[in-house]
Amino acid sequence: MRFTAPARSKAGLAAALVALSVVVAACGSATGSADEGKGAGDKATLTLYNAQHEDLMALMVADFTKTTGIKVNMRNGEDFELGNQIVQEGKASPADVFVTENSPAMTLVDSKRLFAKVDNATLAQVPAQFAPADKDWVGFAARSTVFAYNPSQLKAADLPASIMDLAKPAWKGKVGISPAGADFQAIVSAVLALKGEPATVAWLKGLKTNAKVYAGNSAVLKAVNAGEVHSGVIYHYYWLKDQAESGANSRNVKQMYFGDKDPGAFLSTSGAGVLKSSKHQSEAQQLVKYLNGAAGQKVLADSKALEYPIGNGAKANKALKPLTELSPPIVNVDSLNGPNVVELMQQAGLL
Amino acid sequence: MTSSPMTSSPMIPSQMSASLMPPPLMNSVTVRAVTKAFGASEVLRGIDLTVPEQSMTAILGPSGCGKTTLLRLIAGFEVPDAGQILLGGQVVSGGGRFVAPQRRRVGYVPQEGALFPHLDVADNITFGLTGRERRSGHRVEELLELVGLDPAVRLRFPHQLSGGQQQRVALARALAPGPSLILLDEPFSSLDAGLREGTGRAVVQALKATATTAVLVTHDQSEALSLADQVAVMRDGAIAQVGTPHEVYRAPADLGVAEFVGAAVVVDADLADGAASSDLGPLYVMAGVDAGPARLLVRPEQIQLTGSSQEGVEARVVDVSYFGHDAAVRLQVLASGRMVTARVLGLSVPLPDSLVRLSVTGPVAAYSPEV
Amino acid sequence: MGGSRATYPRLLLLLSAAIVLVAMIPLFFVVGYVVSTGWDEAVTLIWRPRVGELFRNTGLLVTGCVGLTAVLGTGAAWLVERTTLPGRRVWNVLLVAPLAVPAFVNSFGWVSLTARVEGYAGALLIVSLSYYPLVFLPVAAMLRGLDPALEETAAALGHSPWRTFIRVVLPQLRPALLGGTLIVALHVLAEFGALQLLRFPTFTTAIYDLYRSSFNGPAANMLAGVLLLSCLLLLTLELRLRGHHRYSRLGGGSARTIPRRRLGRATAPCLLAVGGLTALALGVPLGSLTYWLATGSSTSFPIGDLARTTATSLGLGVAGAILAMALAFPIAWLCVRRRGRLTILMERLTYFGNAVPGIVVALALVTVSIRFAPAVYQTLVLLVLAYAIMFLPRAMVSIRAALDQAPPVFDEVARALGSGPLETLRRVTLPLVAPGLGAGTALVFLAVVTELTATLLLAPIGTRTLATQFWGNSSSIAYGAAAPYAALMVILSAPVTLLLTRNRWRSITV
Repeated sequence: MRFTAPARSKAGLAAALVALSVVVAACGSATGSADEGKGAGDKATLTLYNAQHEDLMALMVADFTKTTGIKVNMRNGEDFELGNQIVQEGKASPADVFVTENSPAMTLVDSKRLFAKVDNATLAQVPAQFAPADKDWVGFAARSTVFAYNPSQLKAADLPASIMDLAKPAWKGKVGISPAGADFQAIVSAVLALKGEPATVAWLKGLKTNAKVYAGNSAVLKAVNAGEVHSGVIYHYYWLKDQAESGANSRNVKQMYFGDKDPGAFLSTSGAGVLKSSKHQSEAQQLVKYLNGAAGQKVLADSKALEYPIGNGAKANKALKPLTELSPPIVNVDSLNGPNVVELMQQAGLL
Repeated sequence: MTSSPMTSSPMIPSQMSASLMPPPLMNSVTVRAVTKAFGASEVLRGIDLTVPEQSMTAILGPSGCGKTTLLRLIAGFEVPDAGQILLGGQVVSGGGRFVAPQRRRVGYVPQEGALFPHLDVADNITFGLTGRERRSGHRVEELLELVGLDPAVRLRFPHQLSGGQQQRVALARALAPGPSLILLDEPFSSLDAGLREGTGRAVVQALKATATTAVLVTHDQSEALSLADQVAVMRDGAIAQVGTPHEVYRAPADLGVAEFVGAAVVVDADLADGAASSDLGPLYVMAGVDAGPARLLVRPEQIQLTGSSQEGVEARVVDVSYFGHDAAVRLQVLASGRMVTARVLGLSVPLPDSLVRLSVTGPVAAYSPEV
Repeated sequence: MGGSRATYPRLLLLLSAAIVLVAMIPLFFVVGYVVSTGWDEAVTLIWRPRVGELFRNTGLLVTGCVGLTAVLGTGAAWLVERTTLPGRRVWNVLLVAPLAVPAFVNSFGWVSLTARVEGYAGALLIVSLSYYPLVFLPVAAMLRGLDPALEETAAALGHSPWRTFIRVVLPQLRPALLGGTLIVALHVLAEFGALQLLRFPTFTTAIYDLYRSSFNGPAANMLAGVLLLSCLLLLTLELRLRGHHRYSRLGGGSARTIPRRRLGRATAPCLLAVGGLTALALGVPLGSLTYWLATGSSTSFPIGDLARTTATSLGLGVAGAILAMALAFPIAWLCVRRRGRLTILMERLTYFGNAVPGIVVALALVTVSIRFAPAVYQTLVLLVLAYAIMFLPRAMVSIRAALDQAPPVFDEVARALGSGPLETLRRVTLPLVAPGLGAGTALVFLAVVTELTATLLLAPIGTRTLATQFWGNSSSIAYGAAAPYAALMVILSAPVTLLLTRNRWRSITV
């Protein structure tokens, strides 16, 4: 006979598995909807497209919700991922507020005229250099480019004077970068703004030859610590955060600030803006106002994020090298161009 | 087999509505001028057939002759292109009417039984019963007994049964709702030769005991001849001959039927007054051509061998296939050089290369040479 | 019935055609995108050194993994099925078990212990260790079903065992080997997480990087086009090579027991070999996971998060599995019950879905939904649809296998016994196909729970799965925090993987 009886135990196993999952899923969705129910009271719920570090924003948003009662849902991603997404979504975007780690993605969204004007009171909370000329978005934090290196492999005398040196043949195989991340792309945008396109292209080509590519700045730091690569270009807080936690991935790493107005001393602005298409303009403006206001800046400074607060009168964490000692190059935030940078990096083969 | 409670047909509604019909038609099958084509290929070209009630008709034919299609038309799995099919005098297909298979109350036993693998024997058998009948379950043992199976098998699953047992359960399942007609589609072809005969006999007994009309489709002539009351020989989508097994075997409609139904020795001869002389000696012709040239059908068992007698035609034994109960002897007639095969009892089998004399007993059928 | 025969399938046919069209959205999208981008821009975006580099990397990795998995899978299968290797039952399970550990969890296990596995050699080793069971399963099944008379005849003709293996056994294994390695190749092409962790860029990781830096920009979509083309090429190549051979279906097994080769003195080295393979493929990732679970980092065990994420993953898994099975059913039914040129074509077309990596499906759905269906954009509906499209072939294969258990003759018998179509479905067809449908659902479920790339791109706000939580943590080097999510994925996958080691379901691995 061709058709043998199906063994019931196997069918039973499969069926039990499916049944179990249905039950668990039902529980899961039940709790999920209960959560949402709470938020849908009198106050609006904001949708925040967040490209900043998730843990930092979670802290700030929680504090914001506590004081205002306005609930915030976060969609997390990278600067240009979310920036381009907002551009594609256009008027239909569910986003009310957009927050980035670096300013070029803000510029991208602004170039499509998708931002509403930021309230003047909010703009007044930070120095004018942290907002674009059209006042469509505003900065709330800053981070400095650093050169992280493994002192057992790199003598102090061999340290580069400028970030531009890293394209030289001497650095072949000795420097790690994370070109797919928005952070490095922001640094490239500074180089582009300061040195012009031909020099930037040459520099990127040099890096393509020299650099070891990692996925994320944490990975670069870890690799430098492990001696896989001598050095890396990252932001200042990765090392500080790891030191504050356990030091496991930064024990063997020192970091150097380029200073001297070098492109490598670039201070990148984290921006926040309200979308024109938002149906909750006033709540959205409240959130942005909170982010660079005294309360938000305090949460930022006290957090483990170790980024620079930039609000007038805000005090940074003591572990940070004071902003005043960084000597960053002077770059107009309007001049930092995202899409052009991505294109140049594609040409150089880094993307 | 014990007499069964199912001898009275349970097909109450159709009996009532058919009460004006002549009684012999009650459980009969009538097929009238039925044609069926699949795409461009014409599978049935005008079939006429009557299956008398409470009898078994075998539809015998080579594969591809359309016999299975005819069965499926009767079951209602296919719709005829033209013509009518009547069950118990009621039109079930044709003339704008079509009765769905589940309303025909026709039992169907497919090849290899097709027992539901997810059900045990008892659940298979009671599948066609109503919920209440299913739960009582008392008929299972009766039906198992009817088809000659130990009631202990009721709890087994199909894969735990032998092929013959599966066929018997399949028959019991088909009989359980008390159908007026059972359709058997090559039910024994997958069984070993040894099992085939016993299973076949059990099936016939069960059908007789329940007075069920049956149609058996088969390509095996011995199966058809031994089990059926009536044999319909099919060829190329048409019925070549309908008759009793004896008629079909002894007086086939033509030589083609003759050769399909059994082994044949065909002899050319000139006839005069119902007798002929041939290189096999004198032959008595039963019917057909009266005079002139003719082709005669001699069955191997009609050829008798004698060792020493002066009667008959001299022949040399070429070889012998010995089967125990009988043997096929291949002979060369010395005078003409013709090769013939004789079937003789296993008691006295000649040795190869020995000389024997042969003669033909009994009348033979004659056919005109053009056919 | 005549009337119903004509109309019933027509409705079903229309439904199936619609499903096939939905399943082909990614394909249409990529082709449409490339065409609308225009030749010049397409050439600039595709004909650049970076793409060449990715092409070389991807090609080297695919060929390497195909070779290595073929050797590992066939070798292990032969030892387990055809020799007197001690503990064959246990090995049988252990050698399939790596399927319960997603490749990106496996790489995590390795890379969190040593950075030496980064780069080509490491990627080759780790990806092969993850995927060799896909060759092992069909080859072992085929070895088991092989008629021993073939080998005996070869031996009688004077062939040495080795020559017999090469000249008689290996050619018989061809369909299983081709089928298995094709699946490996498609998995490698679509692999993202493992390769990103191992710092070995391929098309898939590059598309993701481009997505992160430009959303669904032209560069990402061009690469998707190239990737899709590679997959289709592979699929065609395999069809050619396979020729008229069909995958062998596994029957109840031959009644004869297959004679096994005595290993004798070779027993210890062979045990060492399978033991070593198991240690590398299963021991290292599980050991590493245990280590990180035990030592962890500063983070405590976030029970609430873990439970919520698990529930989300389970829910998505069930929804994806049910939708995939529901979409596959009409097509599979037509293929089995109404085999014709049209139904064969539809079946083939759905199999193309098998060749479309998750990242391409996701990219396509993001753009298509923003433009044409904003209502489902950023909803679970879209994510579940992506799962269904991606895993439709898995569902198809299982449903076909299940329907083979219920040939039409059973319907006919039931109808002759007085059951109408619905009653027949309930009492005969469904009970017969249920185990197969259950297994298919389980397989799709397994795939959804461990899916990473499409989930990363399509998950709506606030939706976190085990895979994305694991990914978020492991890519920011929070190994201790990532470990519990990985462990949960392994635990969820284990029962389904165990199911695959049972004979009945071996043939339906996709």
